[in-house]
Amino acid sequence: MSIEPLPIPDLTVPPPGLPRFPQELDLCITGRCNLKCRYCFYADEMAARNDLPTERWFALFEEVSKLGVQRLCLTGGEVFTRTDLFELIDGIIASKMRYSLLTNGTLISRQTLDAFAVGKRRLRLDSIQVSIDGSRAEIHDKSRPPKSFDRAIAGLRLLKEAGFPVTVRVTVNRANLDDLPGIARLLLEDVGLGGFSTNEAEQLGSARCYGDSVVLTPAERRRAMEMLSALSKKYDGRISASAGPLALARHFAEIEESLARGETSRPGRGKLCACGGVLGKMAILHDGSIVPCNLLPTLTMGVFGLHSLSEAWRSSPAINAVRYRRDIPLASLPSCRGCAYAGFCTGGCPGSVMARYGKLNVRDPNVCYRIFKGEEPGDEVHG
Amino acid sequence: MSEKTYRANEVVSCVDEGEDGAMLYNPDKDDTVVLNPSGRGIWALLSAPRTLDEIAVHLAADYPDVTREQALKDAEQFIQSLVPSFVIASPDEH
Repeated sequence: MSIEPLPIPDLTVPPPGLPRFPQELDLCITGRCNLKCRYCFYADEMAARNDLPTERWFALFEEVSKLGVQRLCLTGGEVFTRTDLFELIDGIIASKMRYSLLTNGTLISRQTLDAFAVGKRRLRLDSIQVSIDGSRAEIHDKSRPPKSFDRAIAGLRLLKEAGFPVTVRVTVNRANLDDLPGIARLLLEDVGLGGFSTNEAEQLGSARCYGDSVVLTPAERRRAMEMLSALSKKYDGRISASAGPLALARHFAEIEESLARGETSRPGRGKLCACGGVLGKMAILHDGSIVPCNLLPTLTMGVFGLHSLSEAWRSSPAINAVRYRRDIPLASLPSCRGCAYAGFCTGGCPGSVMARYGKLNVRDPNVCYRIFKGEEPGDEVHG
Repeated sequence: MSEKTYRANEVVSCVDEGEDGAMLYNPDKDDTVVLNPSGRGIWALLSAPRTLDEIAVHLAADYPDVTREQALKDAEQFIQSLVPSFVIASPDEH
């Protein structure tokens, strides 16, 4: 079958329908962290850059609010290592926005909770997400310094008991695979969360150094998919995922259902369209670099203070390359040519393939149904 | 008793959407509303307290074919759609 050549897009022109500016931004407010997790996506090449000072963040808050941003997700690094964190939060509030926080939970104390009680800090808080990766210290702390577990769980319990909008993210990796039932029991039964979300350690940041001891092998990913599917059923859907083994299990189940109905494709699939994030938000790194996403830290679109944020949003070839990736049919890729499942596939996370291959327009073998079925060998040991 | 006045809730942000009008956002309530260009004009007026009559006069200037009664009715309808999230009434209605 011959494939029509694709028109080459002008990467300085955004795709039609793009909003004037996103309503949400991810801000990595610091590169510092009190832990050094073995799979942290925000380590490695990021560590040497300096954090923007308080005043620069205030200027950014004011500017983005005027452009229509309504909510900011503050991440790092560890957000609570910034001694001016609550000053920054007050700056967000003064600039008429809401916010959420991603944290390792270890620096949360009763004093932290008291600090949230001031002004509108609590009212404007959408959520605090704590990373928990084990049901006990010997699992959680395999990827982190000792005593991280006790401190993270203490922080989580404080937030939960005080009625904060707390959520948990579990990153599935080689150290906690067998502990997934224990983690679910701890979070849903013992701590009493309404639910938690999962993803998977990727070959990004620190995991590039510790890859073999952190990143799942294909066989382990398969087990994680089975275990998380069973746990999700057991706990009535209280375990969620937009990526990682559980999301993949659901995606593959959909493919099987479609095949059983005799379908050869599904609407909105069959292209490198896995991620729509770049159509609705972008990220600013702790040194002011503007990037399409935290997981694409090398695709710099500009620097806050030097370049226009709205021009970067609309006209940067770096972000438009990720957006136009969504138009590329999987069937046009050498790896997917002739694949009977290409019409159901979305090609996987751009951040994962960028980290792995140094390019965007390829599919992630970890999300390939043909490889999963054993009809094609994986690209490499971990893929 | 003094006549009721209306002013923009100062916590609300307004982003100009060009020909599409404007978008208001109340971050305390996480509430959004889109205004057409005429609504955007009234919103600008509400930076100071205004009576319904004053708003109706502004509307009538934009739409000369509209009667005073209709302009007053439209102004009231518009304001009521924005109270209390986006517009504060004095004395307080709620």
